[in-house]
Amino acid sequence: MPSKNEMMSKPVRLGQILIHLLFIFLCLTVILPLILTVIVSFSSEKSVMQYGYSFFPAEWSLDAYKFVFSDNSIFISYGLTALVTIIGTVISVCLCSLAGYVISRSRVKYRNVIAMFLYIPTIVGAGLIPWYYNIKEVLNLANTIWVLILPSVVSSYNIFLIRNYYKGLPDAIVEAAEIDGAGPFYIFLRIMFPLALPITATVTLFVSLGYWNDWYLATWFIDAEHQNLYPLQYYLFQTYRRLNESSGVGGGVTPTETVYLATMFVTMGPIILVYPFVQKYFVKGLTLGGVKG
Amino acid sequence: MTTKTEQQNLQPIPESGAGETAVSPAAPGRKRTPFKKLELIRNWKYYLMAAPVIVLFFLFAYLPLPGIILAFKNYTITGGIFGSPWAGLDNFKVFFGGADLWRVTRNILLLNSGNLILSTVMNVGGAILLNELFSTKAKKIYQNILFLPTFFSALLVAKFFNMMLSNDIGLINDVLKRIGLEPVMWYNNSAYWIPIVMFAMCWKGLGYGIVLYLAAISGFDGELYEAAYIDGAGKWKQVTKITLPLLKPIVILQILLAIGRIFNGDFMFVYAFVGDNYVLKETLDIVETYIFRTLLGAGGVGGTMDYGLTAAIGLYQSVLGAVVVFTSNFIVRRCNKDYALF
Repeated sequence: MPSKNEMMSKPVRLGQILIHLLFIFLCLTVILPLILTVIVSFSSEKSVMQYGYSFFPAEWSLDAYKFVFSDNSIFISYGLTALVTIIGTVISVCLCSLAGYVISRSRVKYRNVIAMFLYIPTIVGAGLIPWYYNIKEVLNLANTIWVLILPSVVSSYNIFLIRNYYKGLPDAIVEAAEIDGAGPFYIFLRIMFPLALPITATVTLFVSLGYWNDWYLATWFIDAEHQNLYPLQYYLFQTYRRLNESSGVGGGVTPTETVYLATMFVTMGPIILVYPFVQKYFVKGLTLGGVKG
Repeated sequence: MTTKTEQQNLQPIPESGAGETAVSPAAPGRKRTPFKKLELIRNWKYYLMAAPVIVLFFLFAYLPLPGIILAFKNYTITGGIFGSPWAGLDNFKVFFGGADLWRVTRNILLLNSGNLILSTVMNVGGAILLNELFSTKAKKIYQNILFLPTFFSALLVAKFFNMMLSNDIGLINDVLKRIGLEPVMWYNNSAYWIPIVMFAMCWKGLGYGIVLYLAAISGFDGELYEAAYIDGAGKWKQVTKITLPLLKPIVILQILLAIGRIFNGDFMFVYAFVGDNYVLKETLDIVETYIFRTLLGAGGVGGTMDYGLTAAIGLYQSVLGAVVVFTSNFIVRRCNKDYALF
C-alpha cells in the first residue's frame, strides 16, 4: 500500500484525476448513446430528419411508439424470445451441469474420452455450410422453434467451466455420500448441484443473455414466410429493412428513424432493467473461471 | 434426521454406487461377474447423465462432418450429399479465380488482428489504470458501467455508431458543420469502416476485458509491490516490472485463443454493420457474410443455393483456421510448454 505521503503528493493526485477523467469519458460513451436512443425515439420524425439526431429535439412525439404497437407482431416476437430464452436456458444449464459433473468425477473411467469428444469440435469444425446443410436438410429443423434453441444449447466452454468448478469441490463430500449409500443421481441433485450454485448462476446468466440477443440462427434458418418465428433482434433487423424499403417508396411518409429507435428501446428494455441486479454475478463468474478456459 | 440416515445405511449398496470401489464383501446375492466389471455397465448412471450432451454434440458437431465433401460436389437437390455428381476442384477454381477470395480474406484478417491488438492493449491498460485508483467505490461504478455493452446485441452497437456517423443526420457531421468544417461522408467510403468496426468491437468488449484482467491483477501478491516501493520503484517501474510480467501468461492465453479464431469472423457483429450495404461490402464482407450472401441472397437479391461453391469457400476458411491453430500452438509449445493450449 502506498504511504500517506505518496497519496498526498501532487503528481499522484494529478494522475488520479486523469484516470478518473478517462474513465468518466469511457462511461459516457456507454451511457450517452442509450439516452440519445430514448430521446430520439420520443421525438418527431420531422425534427430528426431536419436537425439530425439531437439530445434536445425540436419536437417531441409519440408517433414512433404508436407505430411500433400498431400491430401485435412485436408482442409475438417478445413472447417467442421469452419462450426460447427460458426453454433454451433450462435445457442448456441442466445438460451442461450433468455433463460437467460427470467428467469431473475421477471414478468415471472414460471421462477423458468424453472430454476429448466435447473439446475437438472447438478446434476443428466442419465449417459453415455442412453445419447449415445438416440442420436444414438432414435434421429438418428450419422454420421451427427448435432451430432457435438446439444448435446453441450445448457449449463445450460452459461444460468445462462447470467441470472445473466441480473439480474444485472436495472429493470427500461425494465419497461420504457414496459410503452412506447414495446413488449418483441423488448425490448430484441433492448435494453437488446446490454446492455449484455460483457457477450455475453465472452460466445461466450468460446462456440466457445469449438466447435473448441471438439473431444469428434466425438469419440462417427462419424465412420470410414464418414471421411469427422472428426473435426480437431479428425482428429489429427486419424492421430496418422494411422501413428502408417503405420509406423509399412512400417518400418519408412512415417514420423510419424514430420507429427503429423505438423498437430498439423496446427490445433492450428488459436487459437494462435487470442489469443492475444481475451484473455482479457476471463479474463474479468471470473471476471464477473465465481466466483459464 | 437420525432415522433417515440410519435407513440409508441399512439400504443395500446400490448397483452403481460405491459398491465396486469401496470394499463390500457382505453384499449377498451379488457376484463379481466380468459383465459387472465393464465400465459402461458399472457406472451406467454416470454415462446416462452425460448422454444427452453427447447426443447433441453428435447431432450438431459431428453429423455435419460428412458434409465437407459438398465442396467437391456439383450439388443437386435430388442427389443430396452422396448422390450428387463429383465436381473435382471446380468449386475451388471458381472461388480462387475471382477477386472475392482476396477481398474477404484480407477483410477478416485485418478486422480480427486489428481488434486483437487494439483490445488487448486497451483491456490491459484499462485494468492497470483502474487498479491504480484509490477510491474503491469509483472503481466499482466504472467497472459496472463499462460492463454494460457486454449485454448489448450487435444491432444496438451498430445503431449507436450509425447515430454518430450518419452522413446527413449523424452527430459528428452535425458538430463538423457547426464549427464550419466539411462533413465527412462516412457511408460513401468503405475505407473508413475496418477501423470503425474494429473500434466498435473493442468498445463492446472493453468492460469484459477490464473485469477479466482486473480480477487477475487484484490476485497478485501485494508484498511484491510493497517491496518494490521500499526499494524506490515508482509506479511506472511497478507496472512494467511486476504487473505486466505477472499478467503475461493470461494475456498470452487470451491472444492464443484469439489467434485460433483469427479466420472466424463475428458474423452477427459484422452483418449488423454491413447489412445489405453495397458500398461497405467492399471492406466489411468477411467469409461468413460472403457465404451467407452467396447462398441465401440478401436485400431482395436471391441466393444461388449453391452448396458446392459455398462449402468450398467454407472449407478454405476451416483449413486456414486449423493451420493457424496448430502452428501457433506449435510455436508456443516450443517457446514455453506451460502456455500451450494442447
